[in-house]
Amino acid sequence: MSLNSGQVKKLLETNKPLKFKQLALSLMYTRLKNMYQKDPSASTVDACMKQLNDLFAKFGGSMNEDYKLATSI
Amino acid sequence: MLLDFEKTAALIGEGKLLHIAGTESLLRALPKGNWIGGSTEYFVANTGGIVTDSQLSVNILDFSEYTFTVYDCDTIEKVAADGYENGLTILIIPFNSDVHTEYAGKAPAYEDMFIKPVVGWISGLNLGKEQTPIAVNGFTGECFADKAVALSLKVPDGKRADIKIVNIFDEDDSSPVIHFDKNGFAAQVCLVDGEEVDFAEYIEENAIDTNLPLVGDYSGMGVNVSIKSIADGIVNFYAPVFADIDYHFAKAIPDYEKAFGDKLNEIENKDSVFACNCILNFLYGNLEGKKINGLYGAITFGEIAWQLLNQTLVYVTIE
Repeated sequence: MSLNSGQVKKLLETNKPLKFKQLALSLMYTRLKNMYQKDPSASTVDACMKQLNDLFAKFGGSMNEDYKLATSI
Repeated sequence: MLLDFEKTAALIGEGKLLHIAGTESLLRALPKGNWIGGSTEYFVANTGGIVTDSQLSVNILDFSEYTFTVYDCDTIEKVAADGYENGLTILIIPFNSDVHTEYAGKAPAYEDMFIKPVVGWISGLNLGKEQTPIAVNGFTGECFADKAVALSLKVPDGKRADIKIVNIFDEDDSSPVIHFDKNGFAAQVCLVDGEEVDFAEYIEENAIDTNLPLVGDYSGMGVNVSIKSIADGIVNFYAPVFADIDYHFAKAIPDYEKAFGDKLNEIENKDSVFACNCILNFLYGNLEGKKINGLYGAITFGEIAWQLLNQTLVYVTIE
């Protein structure tokens, strides 16, 4: 369960209102999205990808639903 | 569970690992041992909401590996990173301290935040008494008004600490979107549906109930920011508002007890290792003497689920 940089870029750029189930992901995603809006560079995407994938790895299967949402953008 | 001083001291004497909440004078008098503590005189117990300076709220923590750490403004940024790879950190910060302000504003950007679980609370005081909010490192017996104390717990392999919140407030979708131009504990102006307004005047002109928090939209979770006061044209908050977050005022709650009851009834696993609830829910909801169905613990002056929250119940289960 991991996102590639293209998926992360889409996720950070989407204007769709997302409703994540896991508190950690909803808080982290909001912070990363704000970070990307201030600095929409490839290095920001890479940094965001690492943090998101670390979180998915940490939560494992309990994040399946949120992962599906993230990859559906 | 609520215990008197002697029973709490006895548990400390047995070497139990404890998280303790209670009035400042009792915390200062407890013996050294494996515990951290923070000050409050407000609690929710199985008998209902209670204000007491003769009992302490005690959680016995069944973990075999743990560390105690004290943080100041310069070191608090390490609080998540210092936690065990598979762990849980319980953090207690004194109300109105510099480290409170530092954490409130910057915690979301700290290393390993959201990756490693961090929960906790802002310690307080009895609002009718002269007291000092403190955090206590029971291991050394040190009491701090200006430093935070953390207990990091190693969660056994195959299990995971799961932080959840109970927020009885929903954003009022029919109310306008509010934006702030900078992060902070206070605001003079804001954008209401894109139009710049004087926020204090806006609240007064629209007869907005300031007992209701602002609810920030965090992509699925509503995160509350409560209004502390309005003075000299400035709206002051109990937690910072953040630029780039969409806020709405919350819908009114006609019956707090029922609202909590309904939310708690939806929760299957209430076997928490930690829980705390906000003083504003306790006061505005008149929770003293009222029974809440589970998730008992301290009533606090701010709740921590990674970042600082207001008017929220935070709890942790080990799954």
